[in-house]
Amino acid sequence: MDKEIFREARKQYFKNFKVLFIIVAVLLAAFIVLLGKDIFQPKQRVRSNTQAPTQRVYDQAGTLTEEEIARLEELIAVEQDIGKADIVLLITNQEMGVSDYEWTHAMMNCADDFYDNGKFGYDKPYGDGSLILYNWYEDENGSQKGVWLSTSGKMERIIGSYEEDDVLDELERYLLNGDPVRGYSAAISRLSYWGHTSEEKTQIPGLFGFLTATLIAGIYAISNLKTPKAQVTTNAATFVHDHAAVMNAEQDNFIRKSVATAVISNNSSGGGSSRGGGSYGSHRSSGGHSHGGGGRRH
Amino acid sequence: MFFKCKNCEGNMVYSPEKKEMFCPYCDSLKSHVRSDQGKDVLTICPNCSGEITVGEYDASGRCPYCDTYLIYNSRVEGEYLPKKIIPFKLGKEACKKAIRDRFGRQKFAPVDFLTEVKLDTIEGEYVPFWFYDYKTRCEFRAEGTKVRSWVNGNTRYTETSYYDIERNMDIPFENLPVDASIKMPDEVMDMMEPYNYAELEDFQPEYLSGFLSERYNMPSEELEQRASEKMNQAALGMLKSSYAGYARVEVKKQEITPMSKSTSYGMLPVWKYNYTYQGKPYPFYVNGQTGKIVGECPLSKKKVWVYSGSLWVLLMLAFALINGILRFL
Repeated sequence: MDKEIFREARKQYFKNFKVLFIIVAVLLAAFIVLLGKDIFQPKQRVRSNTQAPTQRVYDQAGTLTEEEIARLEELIAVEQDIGKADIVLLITNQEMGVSDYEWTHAMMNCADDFYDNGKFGYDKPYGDGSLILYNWYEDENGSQKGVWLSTSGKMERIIGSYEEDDVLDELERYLLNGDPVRGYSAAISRLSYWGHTSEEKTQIPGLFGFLTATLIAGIYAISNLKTPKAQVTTNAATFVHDHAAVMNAEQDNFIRKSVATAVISNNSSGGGSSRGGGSYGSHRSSGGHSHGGGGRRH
Repeated sequence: MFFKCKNCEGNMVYSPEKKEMFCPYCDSLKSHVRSDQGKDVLTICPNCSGEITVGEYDASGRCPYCDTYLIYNSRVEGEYLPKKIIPFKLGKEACKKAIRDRFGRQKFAPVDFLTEVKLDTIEGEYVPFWFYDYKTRCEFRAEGTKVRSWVNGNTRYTETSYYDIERNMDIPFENLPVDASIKMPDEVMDMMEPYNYAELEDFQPEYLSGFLSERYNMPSEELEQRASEKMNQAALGMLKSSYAGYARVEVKKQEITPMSKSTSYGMLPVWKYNYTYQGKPYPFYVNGQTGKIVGECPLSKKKVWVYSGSLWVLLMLAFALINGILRFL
């Protein structure tokens, strides 16, 4: 008898979880296949653009020493492989325009065109990458110093105003305190960091999975604790012969009425505010390629 | 008495599916002959002469030695002769199916609750009932109010109208049933209602063959109080529905008077499944005509933990595997 009950319990258990067992088995099979494939054919994303020059630091202003350029080149070589996006540093000392409007467009065009002309991009020419332009120009009319960040490909999608502020804040923190090389390095590292975040695979967070499983199991338990109960299926007329009650008298005589009034008070309030702002946004360079980014004038 | 098959001498029983007397041994239909042999000695089986125990109110039963269904003549004749009966319409297999359909989705029901072995212990039984017919007069007077509300500009108007309500109603209650069995819980029997009384038939002892039954345990006078309460409740319900449109009713006069009354004795079919779980009985009653089930399904705490825990583990495993797969994509 015990054996029979055990067999019945097992039968009911597997019948109950049949669908879930199949789903888990399919997932397990898919996982094993992918694991095996990864062991024998590791998939690693490598730089595939061969048309761009290997040089990444262009000091047209002559502000860096050979040694500093070599250090920055070394850093970029490492960081752009982490972020899977090219990083170019362009330092100029040229007139970009006196008005903010002129300056902004000149900086933007200079950065975008330099990136396009060099055919930079980690995955392909004009592809994933970003360029930091710093201009040191200053004359009797005032300063035209400032930084511009041009982004392309996946970096254009990733770098929004928040990320842009993060990169430029890091650059300014050191550069405005007299250590431009450290400022460039910090900005390069932040660009690499943001590039890397997009390479991370989407995962179900552990806590979310735990809470979801607990919630579903809890709902399952509670909803199945209820057992169906019989309902009353008779009514007042159930035992009346042929439902033939006879109404000998049925009167509803109006006696009087009263009317009460009340004043309705209307109170309503409203309000709101809006805020706006952001970086320069997506645009097209003179070469026809899409770029994002923005800058700050110092 | 008991019913024998003319063809094979086997015990013939009433088949709800075939609506005929049926021989389960040779599959013959209507080949029954009544045997009144030994009808005066209640405790001896007239078929095998085995000594049997007959309960105080039993009208029919089964011999534990030869499985013959016996109908005790003295309990279905004379003052105990039922006037009417609703024969079993739902057979044993249909009853088992009804229970399975009803409780099959109960995931935490004990493992053996719906097994064939357990469900096979279901017994069909005719329960004695007194049926009361009343011709009832209801007189009712009350003051009722109707309320209407509307808005004009920034003012809300509420109009209350007062009415003098008068009702005089004659209600013919027929076959108001009250079970006359001590062992059957009243609330369960009330819950089993309604039966379709259009299918009431004149009593024939053949209907009892194959089932247990009882004669009435108490006379109709003893149960009149319950019948009267049921009648009053029903009459009040009908009165209430006749003045349903009022927001508030202040009753001034309410009289429910039975003008005439008559009673009759009959039997109604009930399937009974006696399930015991961890020493506690869980009786289930199934209306032998309509299939309505009354009874509460027990819960297995072990199953609650094992099933919920398994679901949790399987979900966590599924999430982990999805994460593993996403890593490779």
